[in-house]
Amino acid sequence: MTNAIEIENLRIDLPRSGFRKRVPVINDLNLCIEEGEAVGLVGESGSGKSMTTRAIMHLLPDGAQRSGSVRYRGQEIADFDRRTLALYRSRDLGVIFQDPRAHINPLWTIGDFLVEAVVANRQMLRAEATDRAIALLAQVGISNGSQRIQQYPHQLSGGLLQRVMIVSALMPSPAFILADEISTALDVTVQSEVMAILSELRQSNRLGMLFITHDLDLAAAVTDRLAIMYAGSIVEVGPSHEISTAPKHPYTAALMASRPSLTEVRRLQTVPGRPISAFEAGNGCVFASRCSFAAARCSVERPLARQEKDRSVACHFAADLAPAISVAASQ
Amino acid sequence: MTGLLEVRNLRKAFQVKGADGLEELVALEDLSFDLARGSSLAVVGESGSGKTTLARIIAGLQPATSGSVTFDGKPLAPPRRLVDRIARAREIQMVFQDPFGSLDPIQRLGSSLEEILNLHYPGDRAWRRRRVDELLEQVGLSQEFRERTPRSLSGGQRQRFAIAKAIALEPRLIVLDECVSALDVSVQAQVLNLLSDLRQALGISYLFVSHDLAVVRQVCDQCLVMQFGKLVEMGPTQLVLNAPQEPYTKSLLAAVPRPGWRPSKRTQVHQ
Amino acid sequence: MTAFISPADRQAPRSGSADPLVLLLAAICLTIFLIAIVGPYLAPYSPEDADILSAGLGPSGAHWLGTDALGRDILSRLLVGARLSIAGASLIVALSTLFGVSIALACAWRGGILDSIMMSALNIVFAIPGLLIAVILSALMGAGFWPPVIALTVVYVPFIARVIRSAALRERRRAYVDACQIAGFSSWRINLRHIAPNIGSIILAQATITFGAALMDFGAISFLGLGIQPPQAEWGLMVAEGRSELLEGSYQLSMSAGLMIIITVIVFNVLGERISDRYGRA
Repeated sequence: MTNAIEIENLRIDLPRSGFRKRVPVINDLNLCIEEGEAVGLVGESGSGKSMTTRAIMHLLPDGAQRSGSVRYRGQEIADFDRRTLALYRSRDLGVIFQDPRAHINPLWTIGDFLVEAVVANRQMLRAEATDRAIALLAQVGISNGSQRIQQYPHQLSGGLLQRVMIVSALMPSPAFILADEISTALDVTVQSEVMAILSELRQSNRLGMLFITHDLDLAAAVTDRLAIMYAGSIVEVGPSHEISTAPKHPYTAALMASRPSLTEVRRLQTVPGRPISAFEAGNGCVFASRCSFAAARCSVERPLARQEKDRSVACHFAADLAPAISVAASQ
Repeated sequence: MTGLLEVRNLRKAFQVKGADGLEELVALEDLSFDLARGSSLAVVGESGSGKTTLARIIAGLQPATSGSVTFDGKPLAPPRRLVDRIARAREIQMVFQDPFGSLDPIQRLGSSLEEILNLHYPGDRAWRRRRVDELLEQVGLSQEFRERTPRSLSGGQRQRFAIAKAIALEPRLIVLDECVSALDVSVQAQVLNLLSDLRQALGISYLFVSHDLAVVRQVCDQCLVMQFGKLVEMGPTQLVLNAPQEPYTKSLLAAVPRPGWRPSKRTQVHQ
Repeated sequence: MTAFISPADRQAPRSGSADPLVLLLAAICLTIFLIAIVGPYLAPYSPEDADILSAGLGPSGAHWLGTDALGRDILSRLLVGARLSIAGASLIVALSTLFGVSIALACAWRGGILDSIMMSALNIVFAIPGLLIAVILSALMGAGFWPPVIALTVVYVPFIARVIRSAALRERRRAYVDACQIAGFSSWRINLRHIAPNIGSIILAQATITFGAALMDFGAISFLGLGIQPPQAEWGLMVAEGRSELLEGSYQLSMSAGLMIIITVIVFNVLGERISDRYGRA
């Protein structure tokens, strides 16, 4: 299998008020996504997961400094010329954002919004694009597409609008979907439906996807592999069902143990302190300051990701801790 | 045992500008329930269920259109007059969803607590200082937080401090409106444990408004499910979550991601 | 999670370090105030002592900026005139800010009919050219220091009230104001102790910008012959007195007084803009 996206030793530094120099928000990030594969990127606030999507789009904030490599189908995206980059963003990537209302011009009809990109980059004629939009709307469960495309965003509910966003991402027939916290603003029942639609479409069109979320259970349900991110680094990668049942990194285990259960009441395990950002992490393991298993070595030496079959864990003591962690996570 | 809070036939309608003149938007319709002394009641629902409107009416931020709210046997006066506002403050407090907006951004934490204490119990500075220390300690914030402003606090610390403010007057009921939904999972667990501990230590009742069923189970013994401003189902949390009776509650439960869960297209209930 | 980070973002650029330009401009403003206070003691000559023999002199060692048509030392008159000009503008700003902010807070808090009536009244004042109102009121009240101060206060109250009202409305919608009500605070306390301090930088910015405009208009009224009367010294009046000399090629009087007005106005305007850009959460 070939890789759709390869991120290698990515580091992003941003200017930050109160600091003289730029500070890292992503540090030594490595991640590969195969063609047609769905990977979930799970992390809390400040972990750098949204910055990762911006790096894939090559759309970094002002003053950002980037090193390392992001490749799409083997080509370095930093080397793309302006035209190739524009086509890559609009045609190869389908991007779905968290807040659909913020990304749709409120003065445009749904139809104008959906056909704009593909008509502008001369992929389709307007009539052709409109037909495709109506067909895709039907696929996401909006049957009266020909009427919907004449409506304005404020006439649609959040759940409907997020489905419109999915259609907009699929319009140019992309090879890869970037979905950034797309269901955070939705009610659970709507989330379930939107995620089911997205999964179905993704599988029938064999699209790759990077699914970014803070919800580990949700990510595990809709992806093949999970990457757990903390403080600008990926601490654990592996098949979704394995990670969500048998985590190996103390952070993954803590994340699962601190989530209240739907079926039983027990005292929640807490992680002391708050999630930190990459620039607060120091030289050691990014999780050392909050890890209940941390030893002296953890705060001075950054653990490398150790590959073991299809899983990789960045923890000095992953092997020794396995029994303790599995107990902690299942509690 | 009489209820601490008795809500009868509560209705709230807003006048909104519609296509043809003023239209009535009903946020709460004929809602009745009791909250027993010392118990913790969850109000569960999705957006548009009216749960936040209910919280604001009980906290005294909005008047109801009709119906009655009785607290400890006495009807709750509309909070328009200052004396009513002060009296209600000592009985009912509230913690808000947004930890970034619900604290005065430039007021130091110590001064914020002292202001509340001084207003309700003037005099005795030494007692006030001791009480501020005690309150900060109760929510797990150290003494150095006295001189900090909300700006320098993380979301979890802000929410802890909001809880300290809520318990400062030793109220009998705290209304918590989605108070952990803006927090990261690892921080949310700390606040949930804190809420459980405080309830045991102080015997306060909670009206806990949330969309998150797992969180509700953690904090509440009673549970009330709402949809479109109406009561759908009510009972002990264990019972409602283990054996839901209404289709809406069932679909709500089925939609929560958990290990082994798969999203499904048929969970949404259309209006 | 990410959904709730936005409200805090807007506070992000407020770092602890002060803006060096704001500091510099504030220092210049303080110097101008200082001149207004100690100016009369620095003046080398009496500002009102006419000396026909040394009338219309150019700049020299004895008279750095020369003398006017009556032989009075221009530098002395500028230094002394600063007092009336700056005092006039300061009073106008203080009074219009006091009334403007009070009206704004009351309207934003109470809303409803009070808000509608007050805002319509202010809009009517707003619609009439400010200087025209000031000239008419000054003419009705007679000459002197107070008529233009009162007239210009009336003119500037709507400017301040409108901006502050929208800032206060935005602030009122924030959850901490609800939290204050739940704590049992009175409306006075919430407005004066919580809302007003939180929009303090916007009030300061608005007052600073108003100062420049007030100084200019106060001078303009004296220039038109209303307000401050000769032989008193005031910058606007001095520009007027210099008019006839301009035709004779002696421009120091009008220009030096005019320049003082312009410099002060620019400094205050830039400072006000800067404060509102950097610290005003508008």
